[in-house]
Amino acid sequence: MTGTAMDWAAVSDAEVVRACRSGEDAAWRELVERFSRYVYAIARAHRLDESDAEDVFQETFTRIYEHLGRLRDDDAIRPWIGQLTRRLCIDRLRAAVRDPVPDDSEERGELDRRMIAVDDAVSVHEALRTLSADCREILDRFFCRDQSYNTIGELLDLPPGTIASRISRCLGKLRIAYEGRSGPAPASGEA
Amino acid sequence: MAADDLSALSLTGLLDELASESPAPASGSAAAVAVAMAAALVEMGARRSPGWEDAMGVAAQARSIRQRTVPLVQADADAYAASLAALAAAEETPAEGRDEAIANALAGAADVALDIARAGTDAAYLAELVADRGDPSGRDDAQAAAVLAEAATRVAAALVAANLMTGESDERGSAAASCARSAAMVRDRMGE
Repeated sequence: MTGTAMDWAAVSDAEVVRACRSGEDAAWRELVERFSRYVYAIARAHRLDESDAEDVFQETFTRIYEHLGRLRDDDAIRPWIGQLTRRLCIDRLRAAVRDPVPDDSEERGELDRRMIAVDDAVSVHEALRTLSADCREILDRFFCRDQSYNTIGELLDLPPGTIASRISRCLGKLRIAYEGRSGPAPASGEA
Repeated sequence: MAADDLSALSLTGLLDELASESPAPASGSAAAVAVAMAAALVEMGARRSPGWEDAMGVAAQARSIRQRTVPLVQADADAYAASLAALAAAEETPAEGRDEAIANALAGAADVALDIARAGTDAAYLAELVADRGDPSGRDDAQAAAVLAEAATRVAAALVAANLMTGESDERGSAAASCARSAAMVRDRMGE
C-alpha cells in the first residue's frame, strides 16, 4: 500500500490501521480524517465545551498514536477509539467540578441515547463514503440542503420527475453499505 | 397570536388559531399543513407497498418533506405578522425609506411561501410515483395527496406573488409560478 494517489474511500478501517502500523504518514492522516468527526461528536455528546472537546480530541489521537500496537483486532478500531474517547471525556468531566459525571440513571440513559445516535451518524457517514459522487451529491442536496426536486433537476440537468427515483436507488445502495458495516439498518424509512 | 409554536398544537387548537380574529396564522400556514398532510399520505402509500423496491426510499423522502414543512406553519405566521407590522408602521417611516422597509418585510413572507410551494411540488411528484408504482390499494390516497399538494402549492405561489408585488419579474415569483405549474401538471397526469 502506498500513500500516493490512494483511494482511501475504498480502504477498510482495518487496512488503514495496518498501514498506520507500518509507518505510512498518509495512513495516519487518513485515520485522523476518518475518525475526527467521531471523536469530536462523542466529546460534544458529553457536553464538553469547545475548549475541553478540543483537548479531548488532541489527547485521544495522541493515545491512539502511542497505543495502536495494543489493538488486538484491527477491525475493532472504531469501538476502541470510541471507548478511549469516552473515558477521556469522563476524566475531563470528573476533573471539572462544574459539570460532574451524570450518575442519575435517566441522565445516563440520555447519554447512552446520544452515543447511539453518534455511532449511527458515523456509520451512515462511513457508508456514504462508499457511494458514487453522484449519489452522495443528490442525497446531500435533498436531505441536507433541503433542495427541491425542481432545484436539483435544474442543477444536475435532470427531469425533476426522475429525481425521487434516483434518490431512492441511492438510498438503497446506502442501506446496503450501512448494513455491511453496522448490521441491520434503522427502522423503515429512516435515511 | 397566542401560540408560540403552532405545529405543537392539537388539530383543534390549530384550527382555533386559524379561525381566530388575529390575522395570523392564515392561508400560508394552512397551505403548509396541507403539504405536510400530503407528504404523510404519500409516506403511508410507500410504506404499504412492500413489493416495491423503491418504497423505503420514497417513504424517507416523504418524511423529509413533511419534516421540512411542519416548521413552516409557524414560520409563515411569523413572517405574515411581521409584514403586517411593517405595513402598519409605514406611516411613521420617512418617505425615502418607506418602500424599502415594506418590501423587505413582504419579501420575508414571500421566502417562506416559496419554501411551502417547493415542498408542495415535491409532495406532488412523490404522490405520482406512489400512484404509479406503489401498491394499487394506495392509489386513491396518493391521488388525494396530489390534489392537496397542488392546491397548497397554488396558494403558496399566490402568496409569493402578492408579497413580492413584482410578479414573475422577481426570480422567486417565477420559481413559485413554476412550482404551481409543475404541481398542476402532475395532478393532471394523475387524473381525478
